[in-house]
Amino acid sequence: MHRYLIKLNKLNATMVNPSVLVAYSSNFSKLSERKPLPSRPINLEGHEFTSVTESKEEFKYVKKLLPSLVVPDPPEHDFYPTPSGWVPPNNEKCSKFPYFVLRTRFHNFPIYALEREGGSRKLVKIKRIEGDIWKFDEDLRNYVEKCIEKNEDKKLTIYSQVNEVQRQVMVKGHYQDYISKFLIECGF
Amino acid sequence: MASVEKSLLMLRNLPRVALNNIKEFPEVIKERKERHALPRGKDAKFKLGADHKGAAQRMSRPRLGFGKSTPGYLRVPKEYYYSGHHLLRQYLPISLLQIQRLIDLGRLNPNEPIDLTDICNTKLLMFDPNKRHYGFQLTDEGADVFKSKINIEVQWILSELTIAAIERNGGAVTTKYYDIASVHAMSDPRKFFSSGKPIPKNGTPPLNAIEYYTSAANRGYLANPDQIRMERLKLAQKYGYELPDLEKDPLKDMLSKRKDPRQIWHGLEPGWLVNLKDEVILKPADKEWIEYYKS
Repeated sequence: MHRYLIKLNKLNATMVNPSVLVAYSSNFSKLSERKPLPSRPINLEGHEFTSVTESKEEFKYVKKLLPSLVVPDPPEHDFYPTPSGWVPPNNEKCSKFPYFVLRTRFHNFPIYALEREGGSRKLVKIKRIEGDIWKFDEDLRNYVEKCIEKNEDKKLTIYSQVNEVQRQVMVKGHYQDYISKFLIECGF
Repeated sequence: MASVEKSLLMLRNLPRVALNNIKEFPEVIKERKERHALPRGKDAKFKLGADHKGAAQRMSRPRLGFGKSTPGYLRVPKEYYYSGHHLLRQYLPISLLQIQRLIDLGRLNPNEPIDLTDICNTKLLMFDPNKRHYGFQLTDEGADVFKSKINIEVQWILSELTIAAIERNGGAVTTKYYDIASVHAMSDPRKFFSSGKPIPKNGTPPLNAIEYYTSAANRGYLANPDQIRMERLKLAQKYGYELPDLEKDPLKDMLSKRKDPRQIWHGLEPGWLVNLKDEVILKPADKEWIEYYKS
């Protein structure tokens, strides 16, 4: 096989004419000057475009459709809580406590109901706690216990877990309603 | 008493035919008795059941459903439980309570008509047209709490309590169908405008949705407006509230705003091209294009 190739190469070397080489190189120069793809309407004449009319008046309707990139501040209402039950933070009330719970960026409480072990362990996580987290934990547990005794006629001890580093408290049992009530009463 | 009546009376008093009083035909009983009387054991003329030699004796017959040219599992016709399920239209649920909360927090403007784009622009819901989401369905959770006067347009409503809760406060509801190309454009307007395509012309509802969108009880966008007025009154009487007068309302213009069936955004018409950079709208001037986009 190698032998044949070598033979062929030798034959080619003998057969190549200078005229052929010139033609070859001229072909190369043509290839380098490639024209744009036919689907691109770059060379279209003016009359081949569809005619349009421009207008700036209707652009105000487009501006309404574009979403705001920031979460807006909630508007002021005549009375609180609002129909959906939202309450703004009360600065006077919350200044009495040695702890504070920040709102989320959506102006809600950072309370999250969780389920573990396929739903057999029910937990509530409270995030963004500042100040004395141990005092907050104690007050919260006392409040929830009182609420259960008052509303459900049961005496329960509430268990909780304090994560001081991440400023979080985990409460055992799905008591998110009572917890949010507690945060509203504190004015956070 | 005529004989016919007499026999009818007898029939009425006779016991009904039931499983406890029916018997097999006498021939069947006779045959069974004969078979039962066959001599067995050493007196038997031939082997009962499996013969000696062959597949029956060696119990090598094909299992049940096999042994014929088409096996049993192919002979029985099938009806798949989830056939065509991947083609169904999906409507993402959103409750009245959620709408009220969005209004309270200033995410939705109650002084402007609310539609699919406004709800998508809050960026709080996992709306994805690629999962065949054709829009939102409004559920009746929080119907007692709902207090806002709005003009809302959703794609699906199943309970009339939802409609009653909105109309009690003087608001208006419509259900409107959008085809998937329009839903793609409406779910993310900024992305759509920057793609450089003209605003799409909304399609007509498919066959199985025409009845829904033409009925006034669902407040469909193709329903007769006079019938809708009647249905509003009927619902008010059923749920026992007084319908607020729309004519005297200061927000009358906003509440009575409706889109064209082919239109997808207020103020903008299909076929227009939006240039976000220069803040200019290009409208087609060719006769053919105008006629194509005409509703």
